[in-house]
Amino acid sequence: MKDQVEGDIAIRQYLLGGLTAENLRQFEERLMTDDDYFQQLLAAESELIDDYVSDALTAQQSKSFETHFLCTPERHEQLRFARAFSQYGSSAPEAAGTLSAPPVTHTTASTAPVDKAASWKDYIPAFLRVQHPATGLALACSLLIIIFGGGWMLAKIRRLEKQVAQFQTDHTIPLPTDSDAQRPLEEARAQAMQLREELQRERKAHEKSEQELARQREQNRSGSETAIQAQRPASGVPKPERAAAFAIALSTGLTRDAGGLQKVSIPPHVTNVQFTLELETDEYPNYRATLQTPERREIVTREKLKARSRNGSKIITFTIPARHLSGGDYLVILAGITTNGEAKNLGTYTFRVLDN
Amino acid sequence: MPVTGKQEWILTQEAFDLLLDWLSPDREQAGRIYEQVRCKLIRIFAGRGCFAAEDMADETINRVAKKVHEISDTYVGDPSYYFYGVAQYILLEHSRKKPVVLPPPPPVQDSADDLEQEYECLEKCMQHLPERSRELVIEYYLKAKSNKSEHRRELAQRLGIALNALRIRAFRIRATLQDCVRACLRQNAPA
Repeated sequence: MKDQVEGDIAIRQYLLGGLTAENLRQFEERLMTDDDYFQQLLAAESELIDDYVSDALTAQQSKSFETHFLCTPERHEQLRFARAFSQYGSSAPEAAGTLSAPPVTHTTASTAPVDKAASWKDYIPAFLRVQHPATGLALACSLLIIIFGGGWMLAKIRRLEKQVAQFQTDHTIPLPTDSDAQRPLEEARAQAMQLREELQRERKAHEKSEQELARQREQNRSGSETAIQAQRPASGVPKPERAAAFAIALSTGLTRDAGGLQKVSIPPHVTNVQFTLELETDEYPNYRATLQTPERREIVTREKLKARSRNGSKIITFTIPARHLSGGDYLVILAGITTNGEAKNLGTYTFRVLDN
Repeated sequence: MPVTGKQEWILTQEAFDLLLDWLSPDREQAGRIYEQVRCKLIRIFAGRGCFAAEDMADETINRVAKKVHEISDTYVGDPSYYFYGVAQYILLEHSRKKPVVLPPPPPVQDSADDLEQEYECLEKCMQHLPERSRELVIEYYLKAKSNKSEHRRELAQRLGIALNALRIRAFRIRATLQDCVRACLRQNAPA
């Protein structure tokens, strides 16, 4: 806890430009190598901005915020957002109900104690209560089968035990000396032995079904917990995928005719766009690709590109930062570069970037 | 890209691929590391008061990409240190250059129109959030006007998670909102 507080103080000092040179270097190295610490920094930035918006900073801190922290356009954008967010908080209706933990509680020390002791009756509906009715029905049916099957086997075992007991009682008379008279007795003994063996088998089968019943109960309880957990709505939006590259494949021959123009929509998280151009033939050692506006204003050029094969055709790939591609029409001019350094125009690839 | 005085080096596809391979043999993982490193470099340059933090971060990456074919076989350790080392050089160069007259930063107070547009976009984006995320982000950032620390600690306890985990979860939802608002503003921007 103390480390957390000290860490937060260090982060805030860093954001307001208050660290010494030596501490600054150590802090920056930690940012580069410790992803968790970097996440804390990002979270702390937002909280600092919110404190500024709500006048929770001291005069000195506010001054440092304005002169040091607000040095980039991105941070000004964050400040604008924070102001709108604060306004939203003031004018939005109260959230319906207090946010609380999802239905399944974690078995940690921090869990608050329940108000009353749960009785065995509370558990029966709980583990049978599953989201999907078919699953619940299947579980209920299998449970019933196990219960009835176990009951039937128990009844049969008891019947057999009674028969054995009865048999034993009936045959407690002294053994006849006559050998002929012994035969029925031996037969009876054999039968008793057989019955005993059968009783053993039934007992084993009963134990097995008891174990199976217990396992099924356990499975049903954990299965319903898993189902409930799987159904729990995400409390956070998955971390947005910050794609390194967004791919666009272009081919020549498309004009600026609205029906034929290739249209692309670049997601806001993308920072780099990878272009793939199809070639008819690969005649040059190098290629040059130039991104232009329709007014022939050059935006970015990529030199010394090499053609490579893919699925039997020749392609060229290159990457351009997505910030050069706001909404509008664009041309990619492809030129082949001879060994003398001469450029031969090979074609124009056109496309339109849609606004998100 | 800042001019260094030498012939400007352009990041080729081959060099970019080599850079990603150095960061990780898994291309997706390499992309994620690349994004993280770039994000961190931007923060470090901004933390040093540099207006063109993004450009300086890109320049750092370009220089590392230029050297990767020399160092990839022999370099041992976390590549992040190498990026940081190059960033230090760029900071040094930046501090030695004749100061460039930069455009003045936008005024601290935004216009009412800008705020109104931002607010409208925010309202729309809040509706797109899952209900639980919306509640969490409101409760974490907006509910407690005073004694925020205590309120957030109590919220973390109620949710059964550590305070740090709550902080980062709330921040990620806020970052998603910000991206949504940015996209909305771009869509509504006058042509």
